[in-house]
Amino acid sequence: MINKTLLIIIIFFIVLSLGLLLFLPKYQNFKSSQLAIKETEQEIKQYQNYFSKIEQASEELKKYSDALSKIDSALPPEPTLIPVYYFLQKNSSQSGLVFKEIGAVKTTALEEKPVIQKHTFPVSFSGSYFALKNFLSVLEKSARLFEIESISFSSPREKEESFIFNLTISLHSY
Amino acid sequence: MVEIIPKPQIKSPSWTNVLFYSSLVLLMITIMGVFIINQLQKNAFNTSQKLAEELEKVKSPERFDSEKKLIGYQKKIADFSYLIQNHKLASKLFTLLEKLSHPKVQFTNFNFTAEKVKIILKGETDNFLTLGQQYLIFRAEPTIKEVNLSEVSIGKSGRIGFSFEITPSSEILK
Repeated sequence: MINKTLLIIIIFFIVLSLGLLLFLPKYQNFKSSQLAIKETEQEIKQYQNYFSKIEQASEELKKYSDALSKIDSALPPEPTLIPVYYFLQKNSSQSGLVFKEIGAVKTTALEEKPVIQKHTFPVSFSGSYFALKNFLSVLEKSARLFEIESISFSSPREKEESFIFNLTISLHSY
Repeated sequence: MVEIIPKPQIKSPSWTNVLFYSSLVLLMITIMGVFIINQLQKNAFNTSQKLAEELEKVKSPERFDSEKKLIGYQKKIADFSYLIQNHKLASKLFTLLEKLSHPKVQFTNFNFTAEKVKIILKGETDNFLTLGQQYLIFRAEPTIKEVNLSEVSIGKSGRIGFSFEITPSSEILK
């Protein structure tokens, strides 16, 4: 009888020790692992959904590659002013103007969007009023998005003389 | 002294037996529980390892590249929309002025600033009647917000000199 009682006490002690020292910590670990698994699964799902939306949007964007290249040329990462000067010279002469001179470029960040740089420069041409109108129309149709900040001209003293047009042009880049 | 009559065996009480066997069962259950939880924890560890690998695959640098590209385009489109909303077409001014010019008024000087959306037009005419008519034509035009006449003078030749300060609606430049 004494032996059995002692055995019962020993067994309970072993059960308690096993439960507290082995089972319980492992169970807690298991529970937290399961929680982590659920969280990771959710994270994977969210990432998969997110990236599938991104892929869809990228595919959609490919349809508008022409428009995107226009945006790229309107807002290039670098000012690239030499090609702009060439463009002005070429198109002014095609419109009937004579390219006279180009002034210093002033670069400022836009107040509302400081990431965008605005490059402003004066430029002058000589020619007729209609040539100026043609040239303005070319500038306005250009993908480079030229802004005419100011225009000034006076009628020539002699009828044979050409007009001198002073323009301030600006364009943008990042 | 030899005992002829054997003593009855002392029987342990029934509750001790029940408790003893119950504790044995409990011990077995606890040991099994420890093994099971150990196995489950191993499985959970393997699963979380696999999920971590899967997450790494999902979060591949290529996918983040396309995300970066897309965010870049999103930003660029927003910046471009801002620029295009504020884009002014200066050539439309000339179309407007050609429509509103009095045939007997000669403009000699043109000055336009986009920032203030202001035109200064200097010129001359034969008499005050045509100058007044020109003024009224400008005043009657709904796309012109404000017209100011100044610097009215009579030249040596008898012609009337003047200066108009015109503020067109910025909508006309869109």
